[in-house]
Amino acid sequence: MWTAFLHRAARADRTGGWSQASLHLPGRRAFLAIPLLIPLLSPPLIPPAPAAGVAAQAGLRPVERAGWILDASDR
Amino acid sequence: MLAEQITRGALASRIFDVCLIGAGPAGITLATELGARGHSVLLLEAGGASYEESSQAMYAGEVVGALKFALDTSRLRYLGGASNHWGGFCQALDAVDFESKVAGIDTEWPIRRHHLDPYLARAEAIVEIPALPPDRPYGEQLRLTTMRFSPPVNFATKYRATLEKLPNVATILQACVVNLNEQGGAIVSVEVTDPDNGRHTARARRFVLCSGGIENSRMLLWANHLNDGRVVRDARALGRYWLEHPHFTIGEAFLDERAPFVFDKWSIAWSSPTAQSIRDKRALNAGLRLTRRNREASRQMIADLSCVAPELGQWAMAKLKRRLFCGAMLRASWEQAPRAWNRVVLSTDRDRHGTPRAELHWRLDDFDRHTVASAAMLLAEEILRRGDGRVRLDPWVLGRGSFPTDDEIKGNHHMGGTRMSSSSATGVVDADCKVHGLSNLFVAGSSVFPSSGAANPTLTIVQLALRLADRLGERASAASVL
Repeated sequence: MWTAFLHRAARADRTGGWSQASLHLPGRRAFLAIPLLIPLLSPPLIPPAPAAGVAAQAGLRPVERAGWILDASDR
Repeated sequence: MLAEQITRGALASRIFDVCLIGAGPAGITLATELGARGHSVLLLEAGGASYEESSQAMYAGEVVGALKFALDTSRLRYLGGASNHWGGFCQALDAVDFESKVAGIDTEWPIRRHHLDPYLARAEAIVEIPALPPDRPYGEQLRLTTMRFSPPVNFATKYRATLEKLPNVATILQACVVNLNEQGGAIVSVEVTDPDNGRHTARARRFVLCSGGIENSRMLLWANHLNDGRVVRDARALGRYWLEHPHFTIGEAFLDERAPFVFDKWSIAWSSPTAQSIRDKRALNAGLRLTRRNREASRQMIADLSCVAPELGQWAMAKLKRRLFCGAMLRASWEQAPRAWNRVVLSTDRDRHGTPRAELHWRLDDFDRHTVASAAMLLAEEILRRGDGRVRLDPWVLGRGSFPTDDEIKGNHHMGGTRMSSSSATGVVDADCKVHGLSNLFVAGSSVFPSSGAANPTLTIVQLALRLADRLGERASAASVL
C-alpha cells in the first residue's frame, strides 16, 4: 500500500499536489499516514556507520588508539 | 545456650565433641549443622555480640606492599564476623577454578567442583538466594554470568536464636583463643582469655579454626611457635599463598541496547572468560562488570572518543541521543596468582593478650595484570566483532603504568594462608580441611582456598563448611566417639 501511495504522491506532486494524491486513498487514513512517511523521506539522522567491526569480522586485529579498542576501519 | 562471656569453671569439667573457634559464616554454619545432629559443640567468639572499638582494635596490623588497606576495617571481630558487613554477592566457583591452568602457578585444589556441588542447594538456601542459572555464551571465548544477591544474610541475626535454643551448642562471646595445646599428634585443649584477662582451658575431641582469612594463619603461626613446631609440622606453606580478589576500574564502554548484556538490580552486567579461553590465554579467571552509566557520563565518554575517531564518535553520539546506546563503566574483580611471597607473618607488635599482630605482605605482579588484561581484551574484541559497541581500557591495563593506588583495590576477600593441598609441602590442610600431621585439628573458611577463582567467596565458604560438617560427622561415626 505504501509503495502505491508513494507512486501516487509523486505523480500528484507533478500534477498538482498532495491533496489530490490523498483523494485516491480511503478517507482520513491517508492524512494520518503522512507523518509516518516523514522519517522515510528524510535523510537519516544517524550517520551510516561503522557499527559492526568490519575489519575485525574479516579477521584483522583491532587497533588501539588512546586506549580505545577500535576496528581498523573506524575513523 | 549463648553466654556473653566465660564464667569461671564453666569449661573445667566438659569435653565437647567439637570446639569451633570463630563465629562468622563458617563457624555458625558448622555450629548449627553439628548441633542439629546432636553433637556437643563449643563455639568460641573472640568479640562480643556487637561492634566494639576495643575488640576491633585487636585486628590492627600492617600491610606491607605498594597497595595499602586497613586490616582492622576489612574484617569484623564480633558475632557474625564478616557477614556483618557482607554485601551479599554470591557466585559459585567454576569447575576450571579447581584445576591447574598455567604452568608454574599452583592453582590446583585436591578436590573438584563436583565435590562441592552436593552442598550448593543447601548453601543457596542458607544465604537465601535462588538457584544460580547456567552461564550463557557471548561469542566463543566469553560467557555472561549471573550474580545472585543475598538479602544479605547476617549470620548473627539469622542464627542467634538457633544458637540460643540448641541445648548441645554452647556459644561463648568475648572468648579469645590464645593458644592450642598439642599432645601426641592431636590438639587436646585450647587456652581462652576472658575480658578480664582471666585464662580458661577448653577441651574437645576435635577443633576447627573458623576465624577468617588472616586470623587462621596468625593463630596457627603463633600456636606453632608456642608448641615448638608441633601444630603445623611442615610449615613451609603456613601463612603463604595469601590471596585477595583485586578490584579495579579498568576502562569504559558504550554499548548497543540490543546487545545481550543483562543489567541486574545494581545496573551491572557480568561476564567472564570461558574455561578454554582461560587455558588458551595462559591466564586465570576474571569477573568483568559493565556498570550502566547515566547519560551525561556516557555523553562525555563519547565526546572523548570523538577526539580519536570523529566519525565513530558522531555515530555513537547520535545513537546515544536516540537511546539506542548506553555508556558503561568497566570494572574487574579477578583471580590473583597464588604466590608464596604473599603471606601473613607475625609482627613484632603485640595485642593486649600478648599475641603478635598480623603483618600482611601482599602485592600484585605482572601476571595479575596479564590475567585482567587478557579478559578485558577478549571482551573488547568480542564487543567490537559483534558491533555491540566499543571499549576503552585504562593505560595500566595495557601495560603503561602500574596498578592505581587510589581505586577500590580489594574486595575484603581474605583467602589462602592455610591452603588445601594433598601435600604438606604446598598446603596446610588436606582435602578434608584437616591440618596435615595432626589427627583432630581442622580449618574452615576461605583461608583453605588454594586458589580463588573470580567468584565472591561466601557461598563457597558455606559449601565447604557444610562439607566439613559431614566429614566431622563421618569421622565421629567411624570412631564412635561423639
